[in-house]
Amino acid sequence: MLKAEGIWKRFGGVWALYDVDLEVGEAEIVGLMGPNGAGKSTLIGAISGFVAPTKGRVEFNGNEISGLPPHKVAQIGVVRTFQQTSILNGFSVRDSLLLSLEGASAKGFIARAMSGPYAGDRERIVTEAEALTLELGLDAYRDLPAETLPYGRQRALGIAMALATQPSVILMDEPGAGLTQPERRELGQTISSLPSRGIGVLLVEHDVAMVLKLSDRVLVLDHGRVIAKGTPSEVRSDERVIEAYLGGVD
Amino acid sequence: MRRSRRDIFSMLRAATAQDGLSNYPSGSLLGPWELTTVLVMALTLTLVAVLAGNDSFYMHIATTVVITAGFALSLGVITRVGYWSLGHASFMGLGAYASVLAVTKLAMPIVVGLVCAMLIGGLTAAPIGAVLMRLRGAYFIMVTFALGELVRLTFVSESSIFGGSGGITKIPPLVFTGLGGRFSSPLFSAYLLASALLVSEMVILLTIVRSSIGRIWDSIRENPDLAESQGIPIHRYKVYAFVIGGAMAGLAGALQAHYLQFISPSMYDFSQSIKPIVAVIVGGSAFLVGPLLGASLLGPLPELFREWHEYERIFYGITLALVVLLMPYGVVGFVRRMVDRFRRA
Amino acid sequence: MLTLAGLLQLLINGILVGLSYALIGLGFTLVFGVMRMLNLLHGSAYAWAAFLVFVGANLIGIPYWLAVVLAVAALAPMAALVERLILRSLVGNEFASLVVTLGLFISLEGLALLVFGPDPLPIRPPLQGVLVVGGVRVSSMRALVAGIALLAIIALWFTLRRTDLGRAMRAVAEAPEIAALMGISRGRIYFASYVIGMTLAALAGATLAPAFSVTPSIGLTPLVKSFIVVIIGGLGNVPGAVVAGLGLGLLESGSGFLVGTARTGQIVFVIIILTLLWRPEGILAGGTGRR
Repeated sequence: MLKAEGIWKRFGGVWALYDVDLEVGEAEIVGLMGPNGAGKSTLIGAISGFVAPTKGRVEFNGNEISGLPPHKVAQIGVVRTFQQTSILNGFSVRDSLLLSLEGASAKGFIARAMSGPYAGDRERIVTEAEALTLELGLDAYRDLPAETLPYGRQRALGIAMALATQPSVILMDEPGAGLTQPERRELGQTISSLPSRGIGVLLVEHDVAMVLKLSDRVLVLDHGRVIAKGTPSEVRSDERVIEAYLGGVD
Repeated sequence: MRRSRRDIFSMLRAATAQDGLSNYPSGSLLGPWELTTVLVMALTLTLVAVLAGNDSFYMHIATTVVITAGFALSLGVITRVGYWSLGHASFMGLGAYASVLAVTKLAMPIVVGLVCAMLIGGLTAAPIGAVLMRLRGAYFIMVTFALGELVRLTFVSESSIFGGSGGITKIPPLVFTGLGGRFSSPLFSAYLLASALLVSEMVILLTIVRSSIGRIWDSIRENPDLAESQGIPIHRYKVYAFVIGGAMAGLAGALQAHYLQFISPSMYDFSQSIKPIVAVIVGGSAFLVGPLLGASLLGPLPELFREWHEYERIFYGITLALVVLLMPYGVVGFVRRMVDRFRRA
Repeated sequence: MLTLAGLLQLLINGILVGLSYALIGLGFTLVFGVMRMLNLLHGSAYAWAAFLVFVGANLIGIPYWLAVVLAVAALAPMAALVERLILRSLVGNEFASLVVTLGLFISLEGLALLVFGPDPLPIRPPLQGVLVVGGVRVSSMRALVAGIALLAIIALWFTLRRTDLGRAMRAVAEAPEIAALMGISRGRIYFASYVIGMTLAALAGATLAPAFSVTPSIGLTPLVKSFIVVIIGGLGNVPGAVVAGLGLGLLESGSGFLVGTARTGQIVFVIIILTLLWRPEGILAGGTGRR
């Protein structure tokens, strides 16, 4: 259970987040919506350790994770994906997955150096990498550099890499951006399958229909404040939400 | 007796095994690429020694190139994580002075001096890297430039320790005692030692880069935020690279000091920091051999252009500009592209 | 023993030198701010302006000030050519521009060595003599040069604040996407900024160089000073460069008196390192604001 309580964030003289509360359970999809500039990415940054909240607290399974650096947060099980730069240039699908599978390994420098290409047991790692590759439809792209993949496959790779770290919660930052409709549908299917694996998802998406369709619960941010929360149907018809989207520049 | 010999052989075989199962790399410490590289290096170095023979001019060039290559390689480790240090000569200087002072003031044997050089290079690099690598890109470039100048000025100002701007002379040379013939000539000894050390460094680096550390370093260079989000402690691994680079630079500095038998602060100035940068760029920063290649191409230049060093500067500068404009991945990158294109056609 | 006159002397020296440093740093920071390019050819412009003054005044025999004007005027079209042919493709790529301009800088230094030889070039400054005002001694040449620097700084300030070109340059520096939307031709602005930046460097070189000795490698020191000024003032921060230049001049003056030049150098670099670690945008944070 991931809990963010009373998150405030200020950049210089500008407040980006005002007293935001958020909860993500281990088998649910929580949608985070809001017009551009509402603070969605900042919130993800604050939860995952990339941005230090000015005030507030983030907890995971009862333990405070607010002050931790991003890699520790990821090791604990809260993993984020990125909006634009979601892949590693020059890395093949194979290499990307190998990196994610072993990234959090506790082995130190010398131990890793003496272990050859795999920080752990080769059989196990290769099997897992293969499983993820097949599951996310990346088998045709195994050896290709990630930047040559179509965007839909790049997002799938990003999700595969996140899954490789064996997360409890994934914070997805606009995974649908730049995808075609069929790619988005496929992405949606992948995302809906996550709760059944015991993975909670915080889904930040610009595509309102997609968020409302996939989420169990939804939060709406506008100008750094939570202006609505509830089930998708409740939020869909909420006046303040409609005004926030129509009133601002989208 | 026989059993232990067989175990050793099977261990060796296992260490270089090729798994045909899939295209995932085999679990061995060194793969075919790594072994080939080391073999080619060793052969080239031997060939050069044989060809140069007793000609001290060519041996001198060869030895200088080998030492410079080690220095360039040390920077190549740091550029691998995407950091370009404009003050790397300071670690070379620190190692040089460490060794020289240990040998001249503390009467240590040269081997101990070399070890000190590596230790000092690595130990000073640790806190410096830990602090400076919090910066990125242009800011790191500028701060390492300032660092380089600061260290050089300190070599000058603390003349009681470092001998001032006049430097330290009459440094004992590298000589292998106890071996007759060629081995006792300082020129050849220096070449032998420098080459042996370079090959050893290469073996170690190839092992490290082939392991998961190489993947981590590459991910830090390509997309540090993404790497961090996968649970990788990127800062720690950045500093590892910086420390290894510093230690290797220190060793190169010590080798050079004992070879030239003279050091002074002006040897570790900004222009000395530029040299490995140019070597890495020209040779190519994507592969470990790039800096070696760059150093081999650029190293002999001062000697070849001996009479006309103005022309050397002109040539050097234009080469640098052209390489960046036309061959951004250096010679190695260029060759690789040609090979790929050839294979596809 | 520091008298009031002595203190005033240090202050005036510092300001005079500082104005020159500000002039040197301005062009560099301008080019970085607009084109995000670390233009090491800045040092070459400085150096070659000085060389051309030597050629004009000492070799050909034209009057000193005419040589200065011609030198600066000659360098501007050179800068234009370089920008058009080579640098256009490197805009925004901080690293590549650094290395390419470094290569060209090295080559031009080699060329200078070839043409002029390694020894200092004798340039006779036209103004000899010393001004004495209220106990403070200042060489007339230095005062004049500082005055020219001040004029150039004011002219640049005026251009940036009051003219359309200046406004366009600031727009491109601070928000390039918006500038494009506003119909500003980025190519033309890059061109203008580069030529202006290099002309400032040439002006600095042509007027300052005779005060020191002109060797083929004089390009390096102004580059180092530019780096310092620009780091402390903030990359791309024009008023910052002026403040930093003056600050550096005053620091060198005072510190040089107290602890000598070597230590002063160390102090300056320590300040730079600290600035980069704690205030990477420069002491006057709020220039372009971008990291």
